[in-house]
Amino acid sequence: MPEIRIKNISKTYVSEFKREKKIAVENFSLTIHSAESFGIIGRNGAGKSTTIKMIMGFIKPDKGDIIIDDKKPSDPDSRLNVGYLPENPYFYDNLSAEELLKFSSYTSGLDKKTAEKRINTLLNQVGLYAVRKQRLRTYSKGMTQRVGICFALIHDPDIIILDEPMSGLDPFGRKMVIDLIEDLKKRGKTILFCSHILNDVERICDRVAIMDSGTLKGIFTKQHVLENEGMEKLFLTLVREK
Amino acid sequence: MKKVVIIHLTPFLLICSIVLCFFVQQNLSVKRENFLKRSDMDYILPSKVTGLAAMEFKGIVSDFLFLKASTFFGGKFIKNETLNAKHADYIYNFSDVITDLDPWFWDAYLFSNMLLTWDFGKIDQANTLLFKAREYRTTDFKVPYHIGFNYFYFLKDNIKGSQYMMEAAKLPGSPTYLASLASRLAMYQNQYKPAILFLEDILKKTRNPILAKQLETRLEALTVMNSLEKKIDAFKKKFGVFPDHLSDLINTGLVESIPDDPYGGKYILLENKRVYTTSKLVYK
Amino acid sequence: MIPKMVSLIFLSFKEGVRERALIGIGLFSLFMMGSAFVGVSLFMRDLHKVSVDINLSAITLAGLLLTFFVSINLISKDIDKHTIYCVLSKPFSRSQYIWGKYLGIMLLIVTAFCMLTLCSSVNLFLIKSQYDVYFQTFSWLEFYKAIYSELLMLFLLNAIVLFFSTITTSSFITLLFSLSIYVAGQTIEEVVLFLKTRSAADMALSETINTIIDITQYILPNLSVFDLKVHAAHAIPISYGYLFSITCYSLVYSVVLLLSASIIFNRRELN
Repeated sequence: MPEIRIKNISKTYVSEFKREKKIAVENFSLTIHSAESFGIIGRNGAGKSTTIKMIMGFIKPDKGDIIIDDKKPSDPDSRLNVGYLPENPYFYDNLSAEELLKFSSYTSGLDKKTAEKRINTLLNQVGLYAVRKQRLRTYSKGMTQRVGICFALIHDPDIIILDEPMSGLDPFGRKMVIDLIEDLKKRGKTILFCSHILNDVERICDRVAIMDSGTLKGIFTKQHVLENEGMEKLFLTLVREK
Repeated sequence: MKKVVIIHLTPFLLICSIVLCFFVQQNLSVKRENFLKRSDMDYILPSKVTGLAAMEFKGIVSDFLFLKASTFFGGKFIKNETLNAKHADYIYNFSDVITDLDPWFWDAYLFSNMLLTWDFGKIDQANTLLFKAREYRTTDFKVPYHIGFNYFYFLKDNIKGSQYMMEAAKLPGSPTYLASLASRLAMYQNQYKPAILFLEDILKKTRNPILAKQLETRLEALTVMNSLEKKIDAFKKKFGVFPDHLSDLINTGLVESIPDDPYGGKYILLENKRVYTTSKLVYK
Repeated sequence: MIPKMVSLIFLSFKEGVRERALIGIGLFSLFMMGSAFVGVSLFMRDLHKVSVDINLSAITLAGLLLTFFVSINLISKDIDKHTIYCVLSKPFSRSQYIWGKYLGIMLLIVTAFCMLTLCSSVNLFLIKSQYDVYFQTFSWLEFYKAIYSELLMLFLLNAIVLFFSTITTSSFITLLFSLSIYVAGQTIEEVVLFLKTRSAADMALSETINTIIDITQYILPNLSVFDLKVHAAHAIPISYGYLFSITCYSLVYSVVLLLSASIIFNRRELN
């Protein structure tokens, strides 16, 4: 079963001249079950992105283990069934959306015909079909974000990891992303995403983890959130202003 | 109001500054000319430095340096400026560096050889460079040919001269007359004929118009001197003695007149009864 | 199905090919080749040498500019701008990333070289037909051998660039390092030769300095072995044995660099 297990991970950043240490994540454990949509919320710099980068294998934790779909992040195959959208995605300037998505589908093992079909459907869905042959350098931030979502979903992965999927989108874009995620949920995908926009999280997630200064403040089900006067109040009581 | 003025002023200012730029440039080019005149390019970095700096572009750097040297001397020739010993050192050092960068570069060897021998009389330096060429251009007959010529014509060493000419004759591509020339060199002693042959041969393959003109002038003077010497031999046959002056040839009707020296000097009869010119084959 | 490595190689290739700097580099070297047409007429006899010199230098310069302006950015920019995430979020290991990038860049350089070689061949052919008398000692084979060995040099140089890209965090430092390695590699042979001959004469160099020279000589790549331009200009034949050994030299050195780059890159954190 595709699930993500995080066990007691810690990560401390050491600045280049080895003087300052900054704790990014400390003793963090989490299990994301199969076919669940899970949100991590927290302020900027709370350790959300670091956690996701560790899951993707871009950063190695100092301590602890991460298991995705029974594989470690250091194993490239762990990402075979994963779709990832980075925070503020930025792609190769000189490629067109179509070329980029072709790369994404071929590297995930799709054949030419399936890839073409998937690319066309997805681009139509996010409204970029008309500009698919334009260089990415001409795209606006919102368009790039949408290309990023297509990039993550092109091979129809079972695990989808989205880092701030709503940033830079206008209200229509937001609605589109929410619709997309809800559609994925219906199809039984495992979704992990992080955000600092509480309303979005509240709408989509089955469960929510609140992070602050690298530590886990609590995990709540959607029901719990709804029963306790909403996300915002919950967040503010757990995370104190510094 | 102010904005409008600025918008209309900008094109006007642009035109003004372009005009100004033109004047400044003109002024600068005059100053630069004076600057270049004063700074003689009589130095060159040693090949240890140039070679390192050129890295993998030694070939093209050697081309560039050669072009620099040849335009420098070309300019001197056009203006008929006198060359001095400093220039001789300069051409030697320059060619040495150029041929360190590209030891097969024949143009550089030939150019420096021609200048060092004919214009400066530095036969040793010319031969030093040619021996360097001989190390690299092992199958090129031109190298021993020029060495041989230098020995024969300038150093009056016929034995060595014919030795190198023989070496040249054995190499591929050498002209057929070379072998016989080598063997007859001794006979040609004190004659201008081999030099004429030599210059004619070089002139045939020279494309640079400035250099070609230089060679033609030299060839013209040598041809006159050669024919005058022949007339002197005829005089000796006819009257049993050598003439005292070249004017004797006119008086006896052997020649109609003594041609002008293209270098601006006067042909004279030396005490050893050879013809030479007061210009010493250098522009007055 | 298209293998993923091939996709990665073509991704890097396409990204590089569309770099705007490429147009400038191409125009520059074409202009330089064109200048051979005029420049050659200023020389006396060695027209073949001069035209080969200019053409080969144009190709070399284009290769160097490509390396120092385009391929340096391809990797550092990838890390700087986080475009690397879009490759590494796919099932690629870090080593595969390094090799894919390297081969993509090499594909770019080989393509550029093919085009430039074609242009300079046409150029040389035109000059040759105009001044055929002065092209007695000219060999197409030696000309192409020189281009081939230049290509080998760029294989190695790009491996060096890639190696430094994996250890440094800024493309400027990568540029600085690889440029100094390039300069040192081009000159080390001459410097050593000079020092050795001098020390033999004055016994001025101590044992330690001698060892240091020896060590640097073995660590630094000797890039001057790939410079056959002067030979090609004079059509001096280069043996196939020599070509074979410089091919091995370039390959082995590049592989060593790329493997160390992979090991280093494996440990690198991509923030």
